[in-house]
Amino acid sequence: MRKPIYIFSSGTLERQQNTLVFKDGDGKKRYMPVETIADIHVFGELDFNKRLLEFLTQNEITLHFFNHYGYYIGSFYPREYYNSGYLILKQAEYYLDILKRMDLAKKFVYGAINNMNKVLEYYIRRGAEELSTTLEELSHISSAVETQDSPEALMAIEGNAREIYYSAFDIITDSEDFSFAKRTRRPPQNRLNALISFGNSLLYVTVLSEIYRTHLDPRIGFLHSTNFRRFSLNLDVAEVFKPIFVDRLIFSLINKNQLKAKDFSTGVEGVFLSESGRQTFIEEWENKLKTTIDYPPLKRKVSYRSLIRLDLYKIEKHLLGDKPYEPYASRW
Amino acid sequence: MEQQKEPQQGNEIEFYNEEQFLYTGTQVYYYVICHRKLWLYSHRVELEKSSDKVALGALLHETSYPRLKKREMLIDSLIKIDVLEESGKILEVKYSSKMIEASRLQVLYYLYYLKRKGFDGLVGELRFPRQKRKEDVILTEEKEGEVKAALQNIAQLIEPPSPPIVEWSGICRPCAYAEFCWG
Repeated sequence: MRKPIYIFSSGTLERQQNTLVFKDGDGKKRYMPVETIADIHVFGELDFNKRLLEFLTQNEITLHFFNHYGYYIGSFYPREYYNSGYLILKQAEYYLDILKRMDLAKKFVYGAINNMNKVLEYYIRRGAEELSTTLEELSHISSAVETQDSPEALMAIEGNAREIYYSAFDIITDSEDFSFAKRTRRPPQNRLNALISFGNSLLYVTVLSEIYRTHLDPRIGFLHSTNFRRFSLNLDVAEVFKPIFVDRLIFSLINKNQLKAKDFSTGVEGVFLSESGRQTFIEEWENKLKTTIDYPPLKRKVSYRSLIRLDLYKIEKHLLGDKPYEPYASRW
Repeated sequence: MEQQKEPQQGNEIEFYNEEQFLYTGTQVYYYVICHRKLWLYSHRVELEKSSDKVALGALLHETSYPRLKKREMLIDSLIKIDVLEESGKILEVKYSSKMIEASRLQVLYYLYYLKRKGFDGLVGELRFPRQKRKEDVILTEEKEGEVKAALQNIAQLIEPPSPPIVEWSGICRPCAYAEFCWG
């Protein structure tokens, strides 16, 4: 199983024969066998050359960049190594045909709301009964999904659902240091918002790395419009997994006191995780992705990370007219 | 508009269009193994590149029979022959003899293909280095009929816009497509 690499310090990443080597500012070297790497996430300052990019392309490794505040900047997405013209045409066909597009877009929204429900139900079972009202409001919103006839209207519904769901966060975390108030993005204006933004970015790049290992084109999304500049299919698929991957992780980090107020820095640019905070978050994020759970359709255990790829395969099957897509539904 | 000839019905199996004779050895191999895999592979929905088993097979190809020359010959950008011996023998190296039926048809197809190009009298040989086992493959008239029938079936199997429905069989478990088909 290939593993992701996270680079926090600044230095040089280069190819040395058939190995990757990272040299930090003090000249200390760290060797990383290239066969064992899934993708690389760069948070520090990095020097590299074209030879490195060629090497990463040969070994099918994507490279994701984040800025000083942990914001996602962009990716080096190597030349496709799985290429099916037939499937790309199908993906474009399902984008251009508004009925087919809406059908898929709705499934992402249903999948997202369903997994939000699962999160709320979990905390209701554990005593937060007041969340039942949130659950009802959410089901009300959910019933409006079917009648939407444009992706924009659907996005608005999705936004409403998420707003209602976020209103539950203060009840779930019950921490003054992490009160939610409202969702703020660019920049996040409090700690909880900073955590959501950071977690979502990690999920977006993880889905993107998984898309690279399929035949799908990340530029053609269905719920999120293809605007010819950026990746959007990963945003669609991430919606389904946000509640169970990102939000659950955030609750656990706060409720187990693994992150504290001191792990954040506040400035004119907003509130951000400090480097130590990011490291804690990423460590737990990776533990989560590695965790395996029973997966009845395959009659074996699979990792959280593979759940993403399995959903991508389901989308491929949908596009090939093989089997309609049913987004991953958490069972607890 | 271009006139398309209808395929001939009846016992006589014949190529009605030389251009359709465009299959790789892998397609013929998958035809015996799994029609769904054949369809997916033929539409370039490939998944073998991330399979450890396929990597092992490739390594075996690289390392077996180092003394033989003329390895991995690509003919017409279509069929790839593992080894061609001086004596006129085509060797096909396989990691396992499990899929021997499929391997046989693949070599028969190579022989048939080369015969149609004018290279008559070649013989084939399957090699399973791990099992230290080999088997001759001879293209008889009867076998030629089997190859022709297979090629015609392949054309029909990959024509539909969607893959054949998924059906469980014992070979699904180790298949590189298992997560795709069953996940």
